[in-house]
Amino acid sequence: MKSISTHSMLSTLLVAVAIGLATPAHAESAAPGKYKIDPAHSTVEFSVSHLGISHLVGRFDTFEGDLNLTPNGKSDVSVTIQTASVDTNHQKRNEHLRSPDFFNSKQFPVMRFVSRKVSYNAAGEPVHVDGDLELHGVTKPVTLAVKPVGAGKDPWGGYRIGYTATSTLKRSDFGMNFMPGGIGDDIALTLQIEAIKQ
Amino acid sequence: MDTFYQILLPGLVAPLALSLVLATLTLRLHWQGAWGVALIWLISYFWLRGLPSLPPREAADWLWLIGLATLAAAVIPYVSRWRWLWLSGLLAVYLAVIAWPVMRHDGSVMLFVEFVVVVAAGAASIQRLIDGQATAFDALTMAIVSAGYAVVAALGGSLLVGLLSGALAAALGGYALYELMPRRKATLLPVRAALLASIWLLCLMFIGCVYAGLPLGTLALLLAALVLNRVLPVRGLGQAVMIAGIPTVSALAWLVLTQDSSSYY
Repeated sequence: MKSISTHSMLSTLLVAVAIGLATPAHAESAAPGKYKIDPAHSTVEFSVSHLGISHLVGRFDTFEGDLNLTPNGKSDVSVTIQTASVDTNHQKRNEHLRSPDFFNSKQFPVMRFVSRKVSYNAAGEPVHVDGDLELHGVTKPVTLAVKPVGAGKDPWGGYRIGYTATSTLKRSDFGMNFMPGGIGDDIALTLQIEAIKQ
Repeated sequence: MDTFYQILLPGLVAPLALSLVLATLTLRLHWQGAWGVALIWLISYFWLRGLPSLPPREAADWLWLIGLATLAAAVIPYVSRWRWLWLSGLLAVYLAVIAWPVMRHDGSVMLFVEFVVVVAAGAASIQRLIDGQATAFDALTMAIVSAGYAVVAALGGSLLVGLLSGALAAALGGYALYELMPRRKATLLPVRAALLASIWLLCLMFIGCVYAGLPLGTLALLLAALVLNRVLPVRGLGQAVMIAGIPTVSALAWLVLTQDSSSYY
C-alpha cells in the first residue's frame, strides 16, 4: 500500500509539473506604457487572389510603429510601412508592384495607419482598433481585428508585448485598380507585432 | 477573354481601327484637325485608366490635361520666332509637373539629368513641326518609336505606361500605313497632331524614367530615334524606317538582354 501511495504521489507531482510547464509563461495582460514595434520580431503580410486560382502572399520588410497603452482605455497605435519594401519572392514582380501600376512607390513612399479608437472585451483585452490608413495618397477608415498573443519580461531585462492584427481592404478604394481581373481587389492584411516597452 | 477586353481592345484594336477610319476621312475630306488623333488616344486612355482623379494625383492623371493644353496652345497666334521657345517652355512645365511629387521629397541629380535630356530632345524634335514642316514619314516613325517604347515599358517596369504608348502607336497607325504606300506625295498626319503625339510620347517616356525606373540609356536611344528623323534630311521610306528602327530595336535588345526573363504574371 505504501508503494501504491508513493507511486500515486509521484504521478500527481509529475502531472502538476507538466501542467506548470505547459502554462504560457507570459499570460499576463500588457502593462501600460509606450512601446516601440520591434521589426526583427514582427511581420507585415498581405495576400491577394491571383486569377481567382490561388492566393499570392507578400510582405513589407521595412516598417516601424509605436503603441501607447493607457489604463483608461485610450490607447493608440501608429504604424508606418515603406511601400518600396514590398517583397513577393520575385524581383520583377516586386519592381512592378513599386511601379505606377500599383503602389507607385516613388510618389507614395509610405503607407501609414493611425488609430482613432481601441475597443476592448469584457476581460479588458483589445479586440478592434479603428483608424485611418493612408495608402497611395488616399486615406480611408480601416478596422483591425486584434488578438493579444502575450506579454512579459524578456531575458535581457526588457518588457515585450505581442499582438496579431488582421483586416481586409479593397485596393480599388485606394486608387490601385489596375488589372482587376488578374489580381483580386480584396487584400487580406496580417500583422504579427512584437513591441518593446520604452 | 479578360486579356482581350482589358488590354488588347483598348490598347491596340480600337485605336488602330479608329485611326484607319480617321486616316481615310483625312485623305478623302482633306481634314487637317488634330482633334481626331487626340480623341482616339483619349478614348484608349480613359478606357485603360478609368476616369482620372481631379485634381490629378499621379503623373498619368495629367496626360489628358496636357493634351488639351497643347491643343489650346497650338492655336494661340504668336510671333513665329518665339513659337519654338514658347512650346519648348510648355513642355518643360509639363515635365516639371509630372516630376513634382518625386522632386518634393527625393530630388536627385539623376532626376535633373533625365529632365534636361527629355526637354532638350523634345525641343529638338518639335522645332520643324512648329514651322509647319512635318516630315513625309512622321506618323510612321512616331508609330515605330511609340510601339518600341510600349514594349520597353511593359517589359521594364510599367505595363500601364506600355499600354498607353502602344495605344499612341495604334492611334497613329492609320496614318503610318498611308506613309508606307508608294507614290503618295506627303504625310496625311496634320502637323498639330504630330506635335501633340510627340508631346504625349515625351511625357510617357519621362514617366517611365522617373516612376518606373526605366534606364536613361534606353530612353536616350528612343529619344534619338524620335529626334533624328526630325532633324536629319530623310529622303526615303527605307531611310526613315532605319533611322527610327535601329535605335528602337537597340533599346529593346538592351532591355531584353539585361532583364530577368522569368514570368510572374
